[in-house]
Amino acid sequence: MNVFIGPIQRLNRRRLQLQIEEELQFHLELLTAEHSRQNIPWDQAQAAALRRFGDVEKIRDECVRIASRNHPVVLAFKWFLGFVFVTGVLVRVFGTDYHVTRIGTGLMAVAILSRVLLYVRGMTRSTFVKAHHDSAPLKLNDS
Amino acid sequence: MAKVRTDLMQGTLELLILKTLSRDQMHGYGIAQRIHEAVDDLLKVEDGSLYPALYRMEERGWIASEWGVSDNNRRAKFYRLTKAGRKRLEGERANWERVSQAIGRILETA
Repeated sequence: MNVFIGPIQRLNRRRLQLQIEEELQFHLELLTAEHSRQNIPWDQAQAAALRRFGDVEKIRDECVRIASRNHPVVLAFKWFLGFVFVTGVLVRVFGTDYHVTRIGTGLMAVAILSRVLLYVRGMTRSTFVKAHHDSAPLKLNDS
Repeated sequence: MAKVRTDLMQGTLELLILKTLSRDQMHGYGIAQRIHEAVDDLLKVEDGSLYPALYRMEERGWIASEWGVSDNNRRAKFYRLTKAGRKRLEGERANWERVSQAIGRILETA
């Protein structure tokens, strides 16, 4: 299942990461500006902002993890599995030919197994998101 | 007299955020500023700790967010309270009052 959902999740994770970095950077820049208004050098203002903010990368990763759980792509996948299951049931009920009813059974089995796999993997949608370590650490905008 | 800064009790950050957003929609920095002003540095709140809380609260449907433009013309993510969040705020507030009243009684009598 990772073959299907993995690439989408990786793209989504990157997009979420960029959005969260933008949000955190906005906060850090305003904090730095706030400190620099107290007539302290810019680099000291940045350091003070980072101290008040906390561990930026840890916070970013935590936010990405939470936001990924929530993503519509994964919810859509679950709905799709539901749709496959219902289709299977309909094919099984209304199919007259033996081979057609077998297709219905197959669809139902695929939907149930996929859903069970999602469940076994920890029930959370974020389970399918692998940690990325390739992103650059968040930096303050010096300009 | 020097102020003693106390660590925030678990779960109270969400209550502070809900209360802060009950007035107006705000970005993360605005929420942090409002909380710092309100607690007057008596409570130790790291600004960054707001964000995981905000994302969790959004996941639970208590707040909603959208990107907008801030006062300094920058793109910023604004959070607002949802109907469920408002209900949650009332519940949390009542719960907080009950707990603080109970602890107060114990401290007075024990």
